[in-house]
Amino acid sequence: MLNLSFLIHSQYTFEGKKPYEHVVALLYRHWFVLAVKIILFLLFLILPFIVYGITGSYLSRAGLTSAFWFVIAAYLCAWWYGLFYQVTMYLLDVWIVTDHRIIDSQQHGFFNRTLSELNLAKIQDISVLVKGGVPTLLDFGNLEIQSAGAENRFLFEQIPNPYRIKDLVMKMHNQYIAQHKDEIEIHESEGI
Amino acid sequence: MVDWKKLIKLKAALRGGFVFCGMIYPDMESISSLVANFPFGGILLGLIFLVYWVQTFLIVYHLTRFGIGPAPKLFAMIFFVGSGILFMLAVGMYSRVHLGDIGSLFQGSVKDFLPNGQY
Repeated sequence: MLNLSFLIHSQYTFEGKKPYEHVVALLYRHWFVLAVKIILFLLFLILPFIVYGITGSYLSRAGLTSAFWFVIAAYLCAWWYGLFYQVTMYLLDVWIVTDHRIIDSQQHGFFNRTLSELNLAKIQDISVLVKGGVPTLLDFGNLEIQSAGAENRFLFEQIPNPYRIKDLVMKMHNQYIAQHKDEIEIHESEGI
Repeated sequence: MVDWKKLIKLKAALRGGFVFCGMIYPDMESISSLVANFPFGGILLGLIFLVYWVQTFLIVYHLTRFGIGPAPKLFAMIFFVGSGILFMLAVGMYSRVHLGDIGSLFQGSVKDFLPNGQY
């Protein structure tokens, strides 16, 4: 029998995750960002049926109905691919907050990916920007972290509940500072 | 914007090409039969098949390898199943197409490129 348990029990792991590290938050852009794109794609789904409504009688007179439906089937294949390309880019643009660091993974296209990380001890300042009517109503916006590291600005774009995430990051930062005096990684010295 | 001058030049070049072919190969029928028997449609369909499934693989690969948690894996499965269904639908529709009907639409549009009496 086909085992599909990986769909439910898949671990929140990622490449480079340390064994002692725990994922505290996994953040995607707000669902509204994806919903807008999906609505646009749904409009493109209706388009060929409108074309058929207009040109249907001409196509049947010319004996091209079967050719038309073949073109529509090919169009649907391209449509399906385009839709899931957007979903893929949405799902691979993630921000991970662990109890040790923050990871910003951005997918700009196939085989074009940037991955940057920031140690929690390097956080200097956090600010939240919620701009516009829809973001205010649905509670999503940008969260910017100023750091002392090489990557001096971390931007979480269009994330849901940015104020709650800001509090969470500050809490994790304080916990990390309390546990790691002089920024020494206690787990690695313990040999875990 | 359509560059008509370039199109006219292209048409003239194609006509010149056919005249040249006619000079070195007086038996144009053999070329015609060669062209007629060459599986352009099969090659084109093969390329479309290849590109479609490579693109499908790329999405499934990215979602399963770089996706974190169960959601990307679930979407990868939905996408893969949907791609298979749509591909079979397209193949089914293609088998019902009468290519002769489409060919009849373009009848007479190619002969303008050929020199007199060579079509």
